[in-house]
Amino acid sequence: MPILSYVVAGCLSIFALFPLAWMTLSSLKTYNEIYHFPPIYWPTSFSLSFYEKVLTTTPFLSFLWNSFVVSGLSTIVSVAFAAMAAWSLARTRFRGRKLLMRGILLAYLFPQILIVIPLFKMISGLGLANTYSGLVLAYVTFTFPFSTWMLTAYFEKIPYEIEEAGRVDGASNWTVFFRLVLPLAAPGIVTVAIFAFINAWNEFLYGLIILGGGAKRTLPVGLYSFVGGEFAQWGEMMAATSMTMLPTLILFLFVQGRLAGGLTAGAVRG
Amino acid sequence: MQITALKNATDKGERAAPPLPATRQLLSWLDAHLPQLFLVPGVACLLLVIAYPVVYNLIVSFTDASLMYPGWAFVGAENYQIALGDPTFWTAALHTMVWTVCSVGGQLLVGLIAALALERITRGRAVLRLALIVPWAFPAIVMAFGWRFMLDPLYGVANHIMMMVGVIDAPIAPLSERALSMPIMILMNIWFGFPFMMVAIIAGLAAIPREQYEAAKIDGANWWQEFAYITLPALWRIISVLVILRTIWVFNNFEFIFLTTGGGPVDATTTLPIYAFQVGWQRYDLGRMAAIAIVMIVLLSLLLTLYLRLLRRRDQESEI
Repeated sequence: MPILSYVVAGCLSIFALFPLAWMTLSSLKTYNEIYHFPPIYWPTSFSLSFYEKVLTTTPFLSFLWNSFVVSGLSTIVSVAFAAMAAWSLARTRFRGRKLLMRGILLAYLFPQILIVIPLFKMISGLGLANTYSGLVLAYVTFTFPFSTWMLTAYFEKIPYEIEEAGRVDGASNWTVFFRLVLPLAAPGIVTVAIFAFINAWNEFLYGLIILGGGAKRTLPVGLYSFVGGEFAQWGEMMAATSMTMLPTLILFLFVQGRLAGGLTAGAVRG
Repeated sequence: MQITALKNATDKGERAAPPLPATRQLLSWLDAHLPQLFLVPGVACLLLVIAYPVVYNLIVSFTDASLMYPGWAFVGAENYQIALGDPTFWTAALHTMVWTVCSVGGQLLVGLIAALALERITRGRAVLRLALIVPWAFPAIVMAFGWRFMLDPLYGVANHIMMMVGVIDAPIAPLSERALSMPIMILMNIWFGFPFMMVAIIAGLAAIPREQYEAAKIDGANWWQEFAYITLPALWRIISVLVILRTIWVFNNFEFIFLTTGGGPVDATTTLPIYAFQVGWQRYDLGRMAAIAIVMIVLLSLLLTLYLRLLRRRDQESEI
């Protein structure tokens, strides 16, 4: 039986890894090797020419910068909001608490396609269309529910006695939250922040609608505009997608162990 | 560590100069209501993503609002009539159901198989687990272009592999074949989504008490019996939560299909989110788009109600 398990897991791993391997290998081929059929599975020599071309002849780096700014800012704001709300939800019992928790779940039921137009109308009404702030606002609203959902589970695990002890010693709510709760929940907050960052980094539709074709385009929107028309330049594309993938892949593999716990904690509770 | 944190905290509190009485009163009032105040930004976010869009869509769906012209007038239920009378809407609804049910079912099946296989592996488990989790990290745009390149009619590696295996004789354009495009999209979605299922199921497996298996071994149960009478019932709750979460997510998913096939060839992969986008953003008909979005929520709610019914029946059966 263990041999069968190895065979199954091995085959699935090849299935799982092949697209990533093929993408990165292709990005390192030369022009003649990538446009070749039957395909060349292992390039004879590795070349960085496609990377050079993407970095020097396209606005890739400015897309990259835009993505960093938007994802970073929206992560900070949404995790701050989420930590505040999650502490409140985990610690206090008030009327409407259940309703609020349901509302957080309900946010998932609604398709992006339903939210995007009203959100765009509002953001452009505020004069924020085609700006960082506009997209940050959009991303904060869409990462907030999930971050809160996960953080509430983390905060509930922190023993209440610690907070009590702090209050007995005369600490204010403010002090308890910032000096006791937040440091204790730091691992959870880092996990949630990384997850929010990845989600913002990968997001496409809000970016497309709110940023249009402007100079503030994030990576997914920028890459989408690369292939305007029939002719897809695969080499440049594979180099660009490999570079887009890298930050999320690293963050993801770094956080995946803890993510599993957080996700299932949330799932089983619900 | 906690005690020092506490000390520092209270020290700080004492050292701060006492503010003016009015300010002080305000501060202490603020502090006493901190948990409630902390909810304000979050509630604002929720209102922004739930209440406002739903109200907006409900209202706009009864108007002739357009992206081209300012202003709008009420047109009654016309948008709903046109949307529901459009045969494309119904093919899109059918595609959505196929896309959702097959993707979620496939993700669950592959995720379960992967989790069960990993569970029995001791050496190299961490590495295999890491490898299996990689698709989950893919941004939609990267996944779409990566798969499109593999499926390219001229230079695609998929053609070559299929020719070597003997499935086809000459290169084809897989994503341009009406009969193939939806199955390929579903395969891609299974590839992307099975790691999530796998990770959650592994956590579920870890929670099953070992003694149950030992007892079954003593009773002479085979692998299949163990799976059917111990593993599956223990996983049932987590599987049902996963299926519900994923169904919502896949049903509403827009990016995967939009970026890979754009809904084509013709309308072979046009699901409801794609259809709504085409109507609203490309044909500027916001009123109809809103009507479609509302109908989508109704359809999704029906699907989830059906699931919950089935789950409840299953729960009752297992109690008997």
